[in-house]
Amino acid sequence: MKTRTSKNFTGNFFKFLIVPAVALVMALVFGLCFGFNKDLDTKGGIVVSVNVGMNDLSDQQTYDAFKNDIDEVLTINNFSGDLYTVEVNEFNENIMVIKFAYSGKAEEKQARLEDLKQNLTTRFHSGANDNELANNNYVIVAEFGSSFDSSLLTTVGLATLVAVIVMCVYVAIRMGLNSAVLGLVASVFNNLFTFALMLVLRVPFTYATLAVIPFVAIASVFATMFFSKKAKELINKTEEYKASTNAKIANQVTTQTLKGQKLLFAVLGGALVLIGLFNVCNSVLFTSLAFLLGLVAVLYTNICLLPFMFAKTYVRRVKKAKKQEKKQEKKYTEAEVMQETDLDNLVSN
Amino acid sequence: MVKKRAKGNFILSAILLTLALVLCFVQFKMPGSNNNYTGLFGAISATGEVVDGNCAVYEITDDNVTSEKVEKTVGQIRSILNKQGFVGSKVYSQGEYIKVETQSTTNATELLDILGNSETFYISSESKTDGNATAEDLGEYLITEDQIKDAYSTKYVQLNEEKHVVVILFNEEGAKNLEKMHELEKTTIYLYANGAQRSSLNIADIQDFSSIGFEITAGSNQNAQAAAQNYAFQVLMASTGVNLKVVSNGTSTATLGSNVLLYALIALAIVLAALLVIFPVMYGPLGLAADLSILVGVVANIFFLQALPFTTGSIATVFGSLLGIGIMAVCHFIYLNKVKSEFKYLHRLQLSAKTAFKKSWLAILDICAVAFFGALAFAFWNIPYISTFAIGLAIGSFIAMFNSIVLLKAYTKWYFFINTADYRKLKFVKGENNEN
Repeated sequence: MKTRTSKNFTGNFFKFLIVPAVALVMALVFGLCFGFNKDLDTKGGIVVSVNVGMNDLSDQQTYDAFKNDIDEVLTINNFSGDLYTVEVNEFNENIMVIKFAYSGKAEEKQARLEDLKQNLTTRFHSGANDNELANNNYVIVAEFGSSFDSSLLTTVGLATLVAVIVMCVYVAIRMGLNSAVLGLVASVFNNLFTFALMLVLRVPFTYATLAVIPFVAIASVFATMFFSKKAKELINKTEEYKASTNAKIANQVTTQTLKGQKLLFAVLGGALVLIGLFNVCNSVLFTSLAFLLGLVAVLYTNICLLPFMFAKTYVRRVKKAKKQEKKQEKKYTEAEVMQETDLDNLVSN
Repeated sequence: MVKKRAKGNFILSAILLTLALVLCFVQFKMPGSNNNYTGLFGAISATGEVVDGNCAVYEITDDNVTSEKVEKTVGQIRSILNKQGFVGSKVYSQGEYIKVETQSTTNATELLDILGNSETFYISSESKTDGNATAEDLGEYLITEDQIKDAYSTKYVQLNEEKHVVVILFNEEGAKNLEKMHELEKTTIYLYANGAQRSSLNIADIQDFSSIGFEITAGSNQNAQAAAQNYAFQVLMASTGVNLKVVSNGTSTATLGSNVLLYALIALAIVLAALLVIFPVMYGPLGLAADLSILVGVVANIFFLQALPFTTGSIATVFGSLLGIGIMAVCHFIYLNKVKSEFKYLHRLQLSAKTAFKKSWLAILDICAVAFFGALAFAFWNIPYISTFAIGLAIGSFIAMFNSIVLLKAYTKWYFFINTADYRKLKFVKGENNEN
């Protein structure tokens, strides 16, 4: 196996630990002071529904014309639309639905929304009489609540625990208990690190961000197992590393896999950046950012923290080797003593 | 002869792959019928956030309903939709309305109608058949919707015939009322939904007052199952204590914008193209064999996503599939790198491929198995976004395992039948290896 000059990853563990430690402390402070930065779906906001009757909004020109008109009214009322959808009710009437977050003074909210409703009604349903307006929901301006079910978080925690244990059982069977424990620690730590980074960088929490949890958990266990496998290969196949310290092995494995990890980061990270940038919708951009932070957390731990943790959890191997060495030495000494005694006997005879 | 056959195999694989790619994305009107072929990709069932879906608006008709009750109702609708496989549906309150956005399926409209048509639910020993029964009409010992703890449908088999049953569980107060009805020596209890008598059951059949169960018959077995399910949903919705009226039940465009899926796919295509370039750059023509295997993997991914009944495509599925492709690329890299390192001291291409496979297949299996089992464990919980991500990853890692262990091995073998000695073309080098 090809060996390269190792960099000292294990020796700088405590220096490397500063980054996640600072992120976790800052996240705790940010979390307590401001909470998560939530996106439109998880926080709620304002929803405006404008019934445009039989005008076919699936036709791009008609859609653009109505969208521009509505945007104009929103701008006049100092609002800006974020998500646009088209609904068709059972009477085949087309409804343009616009969602956006409210920013402004809470005490002015009701009055501003009333104004907006009035302006939209004047613009699109000026011909309707009071009776028609009262009986038909031509324009609805309302606040909408979060679509996020917070009771899910307990289930998510339980699911993560079960899934990580399932993976770790496999790792324990294949690589040993040490690797499994390392995987468990890494997956919990990386998830905390990812959410800490999200809190510190104020990346909005979307509904789809939940998927970052399995991503980070699986990637962490996956990386730990890969690390252990490489280390075992190195120990078994390279004479130089059979008797060397765990730290030296961990450093060599990290050095050897560094290029591959960087390449993987470039490809997956590039994909996430592209998905984020290509999508005009904020929600997808924020989800991509959350995945990117998860990837950063996993790779940071792999390169900077895992070598030291690996070296520490594999202490037993060295002890075992030392014991074997001592046994061997003892055997040699006994053999030498016996030889000497035999020689003495021969000489005396 | 062997060289010729290997070339033929590659040509056949390329033709089949091209055909499969076309079938994935092309859309056309099927000759001789009115049906359209939507392509395998178009047939993937997806959540309402990425494709057009169903949308219903319910009006809260009670005047003095508390926000806690509205939240409970929102949670109940979300839970029912989730249980029915509408993963990732959005349910939220909107002033005096509750809005539901979900993926479009054949039974979405019917289900959304049922959820919004559940005002009152009573159980009484008094019979009233005019369809306008109120709490006042139904006697002293009456079980009202707030005394219902849970309701669900289930089935049992009797004489090889499936029977579908609705089970209603009561809280302490409800159980007491039922016991009192029993003490009144009445023979029957009647169940009223929205004022109309829906069903009745013999009071003597009730053994435990904390719950009741009754069979639903509706012609065919399938109809009975659907009717029992809908009955249970209606009871559950009524138990929230919030009266809803359907204002609108129609369709809606993708809630994340109509182009979200297209843009996500363009991004994925760019990444895939980058991967397809990296392999030939690293391993020359052998990298093209890896490219072929990766493309087959992408097609297989799309096929399984549309074929498996429990898969739902969401934006999280895109991320799950992306990770699956990433795992496949890593596995391919492990194998090809091993071939390269084995060649260093074996100096024979076919032998290097064989030895590399023996030395790397277990590592590939481990990587894919960890991802597969982990993803399955996550998917099992049916949590929105997490389960769609996990299903995408589980499919991706399974395909990665198959393609890396079976397909790439075969392609490499075929390629080394064509190129038996030119190792420089593959950027391989001969030399002394430290190993063994």
